[in-house]
Amino acid sequence: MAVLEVNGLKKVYTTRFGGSRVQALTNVTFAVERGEYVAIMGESGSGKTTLLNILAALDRPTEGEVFLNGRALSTIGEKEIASFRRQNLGFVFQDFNLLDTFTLQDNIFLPLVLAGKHFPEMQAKLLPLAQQLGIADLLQKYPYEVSGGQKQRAAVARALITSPQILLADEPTGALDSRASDSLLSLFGEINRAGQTILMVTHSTKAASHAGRVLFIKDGVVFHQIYRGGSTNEEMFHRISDTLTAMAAGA
Amino acid sequence: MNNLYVRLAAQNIKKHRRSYVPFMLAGVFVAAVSYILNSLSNNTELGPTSQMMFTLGSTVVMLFAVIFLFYTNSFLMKQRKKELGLYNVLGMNKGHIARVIGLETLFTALIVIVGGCAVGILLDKLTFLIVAKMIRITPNYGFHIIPKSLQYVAVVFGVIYVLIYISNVFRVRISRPIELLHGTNVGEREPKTKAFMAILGVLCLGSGYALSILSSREPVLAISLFFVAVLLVIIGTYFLFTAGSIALLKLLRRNKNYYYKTSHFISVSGMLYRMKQNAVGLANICILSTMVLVILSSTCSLWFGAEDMIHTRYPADVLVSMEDPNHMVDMDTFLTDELKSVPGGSYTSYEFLTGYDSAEETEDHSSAIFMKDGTAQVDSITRNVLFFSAETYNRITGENVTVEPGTALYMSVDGVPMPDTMTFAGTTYTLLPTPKSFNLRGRYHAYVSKPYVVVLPDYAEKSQVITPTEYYCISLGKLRDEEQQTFYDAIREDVTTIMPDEESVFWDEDGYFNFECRVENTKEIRSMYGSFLFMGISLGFVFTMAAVLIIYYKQISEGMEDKNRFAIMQQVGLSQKEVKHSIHTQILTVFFLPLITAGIHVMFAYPIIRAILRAMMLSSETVFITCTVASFLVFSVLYAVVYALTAKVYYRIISEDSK
Repeated sequence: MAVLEVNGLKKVYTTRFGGSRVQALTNVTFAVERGEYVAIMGESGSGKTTLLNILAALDRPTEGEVFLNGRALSTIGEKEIASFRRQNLGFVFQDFNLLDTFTLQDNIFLPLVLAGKHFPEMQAKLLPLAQQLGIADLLQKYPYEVSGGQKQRAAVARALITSPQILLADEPTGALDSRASDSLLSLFGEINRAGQTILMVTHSTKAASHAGRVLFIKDGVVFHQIYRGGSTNEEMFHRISDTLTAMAAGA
Repeated sequence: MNNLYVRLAAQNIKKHRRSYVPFMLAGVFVAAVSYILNSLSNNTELGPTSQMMFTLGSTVVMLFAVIFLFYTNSFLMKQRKKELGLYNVLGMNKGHIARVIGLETLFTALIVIVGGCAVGILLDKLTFLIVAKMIRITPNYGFHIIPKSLQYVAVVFGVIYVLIYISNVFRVRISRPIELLHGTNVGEREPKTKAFMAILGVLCLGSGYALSILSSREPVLAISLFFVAVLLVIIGTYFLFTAGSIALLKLLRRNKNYYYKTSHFISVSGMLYRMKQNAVGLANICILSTMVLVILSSTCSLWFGAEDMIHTRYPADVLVSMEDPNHMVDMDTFLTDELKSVPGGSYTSYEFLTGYDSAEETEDHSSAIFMKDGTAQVDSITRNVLFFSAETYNRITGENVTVEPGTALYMSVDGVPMPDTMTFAGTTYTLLPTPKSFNLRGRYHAYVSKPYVVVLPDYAEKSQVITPTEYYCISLGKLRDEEQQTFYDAIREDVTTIMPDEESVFWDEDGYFNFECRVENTKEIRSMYGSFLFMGISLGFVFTMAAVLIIYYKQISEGMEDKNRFAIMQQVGLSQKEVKHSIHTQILTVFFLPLITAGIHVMFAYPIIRAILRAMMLSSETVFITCTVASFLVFSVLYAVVYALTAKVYYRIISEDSK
């Protein structure tokens, strides 16, 4: 069954005085099955971020509908939206978006605290997760005291601690060096194998090559998609590169 | 090339107008106040008392201007670190940057000096008329520009801005470009708990408050301890804001069950973060607010209490006090004679003996000794003791008491406990409280430490030991002020004719004569308290403006910080409304903390200021309470308005760019 269903999404931005109209998404349709690991690729301006914002219910589409577990996002009221986001979606951002005012532990606890959970319960959830992510020793540190890779792991922990239906990642390796990127990507693979659905937006071929399926967006539509099948990461990398070259050539 | 620097400097000021405009306005305001105070201090029409007061005031304002302009300048420069670093990276050397900064400072200085003088000149005449009206002198009409004051403002502010320029250049010189570039987002360290400082803060504040309460009974102590108390409270405030608040918040954070609640989680961590950055600013706001409140309430009290004060200090139109052991003057005949020409003129007289409360009896028995039994010794102040006969006491109070031999009636002052016995000129009395107390009026009212009053059974006997003081209260019927003055000058002239020599009108080895005229002294009192009030209001304005500017800058810098946090919280699952609510509560708390603390400071300052005002002859407590409460209310309203206005700027910054 599809965790996420995206049906004919269209998004048109109008400038304030109604002058020029920019069509960010023309007609995007796809579905993500439970336990899948999907990467969405596209150049800057292809509408990736718009798509992610709509999936995250931070923005509303002009046309079309997004279903999460069969529930249409458009039916969720303004009041409910924040708690819906908190319960069902986990976010990982390019620049981590950790709060400097909190230790890593408190950053990770943030969604749980907002959900009104008690400390022992939160603690029980955190410990195994921190072990798995390799940040158990860093929990009392502040974001500015740890490296980029460590920050991103903390951000992943924050996204996973609510056991979300789907993990949305926006260029998660964008601000990391190659070692930290590799380590984060293998972590994503691990999490996915454990059953977590992941949707990652990226323009890094390497990041996408870890996914089970790659969607290519161009000019606001899903232009092409490739399935991993039995390919290794390396083979995926080459297939993605070839596709990108073909797209750039105007195929 | 030069043109480029000028353009760059002008553009910078324009670009940073959100910070620069208030900086300049504040400068203009302080410069205008300096001009006005200086011109008033040079105004001979106001009389020496007022002139002296205004000289003092303008010095205070000048010192304050130095501190304050440096403080705000450092805020401006901190904000611009990154920009200056960029210039450096783009190829301007430090000399070039110094040139840009120099031009910016020059523009600012010119605007402040010219604007300040212009505003000063415009308001100068108006303020002079107000002051003249307050102290009831008739001003010369006409518009004046005081070159001396213009020069004063130009020199003082010129020097201040040169110093600011030097400090800015120095700031740039010692910094490396990479630091400048990252200037605004240096890693924020977790604030350390400084338990020692927090405890010290509590101790300082506590002892400051205690001093105020303990010294309230004794005006002499109050005056000498006032500045110690102020200093303790200022230190305590700084320590408590910087260390105490953080210690408290950390304590809250350590309590997991409290901390990990939706509402506490964000606010406690947010406050912890805010307090670290703002503690000093908040302490400054708190101290400035307290200063404004104290200055306003006390000067208003003095002014509004002035008429009452004049009538207590000068209970009659003309007062004569006389010690005349050799009976050189028959004052009764003299006064009856003089008053013949005054319709409705009359006088009453009182007689009493004056001694001192001292530790040992002097050989000539001229002093009283209080046997304090170790219970009543609260201070080592020497006070006067006035000895009354029962007849005089009954005349003043309307009572009908008789005093048993061996006892004396004792009227306590300033809440000093009554001793059990007293020895006076060889006789020991058991003391009993007077059935009714009265306010000492006349010259003794002006004593900083009020005298005790003792009613003796054997008054006539003791008046052989000490020369009695005769106190004449003369009423001049319906004479107008100028006529009263003329009458007074005339009797002073006349009394010299019946004296052995002129000098003895005021002091002689054989006698003591003192003449006082209410009308003559009223001018002096009004002029003094009028200038006090005016000074209070101007200083109040200057300090308020400083507090407002600090508040404003705080809001701007916080807004910039909070913008990111605001966005992240939403992404993690906090609704926009919740975020707004949370931030609003935090700001409100942080914002009104200084005002509430200032309120508490003023409450504890009340006793000591009350004592000092009593030393300055203000006897009415109601006037002081009313003025204090009114000042606090007015200031709170102003504070709230400033909050509302600056919060608007804050929310505008928050919602900028983040959609």
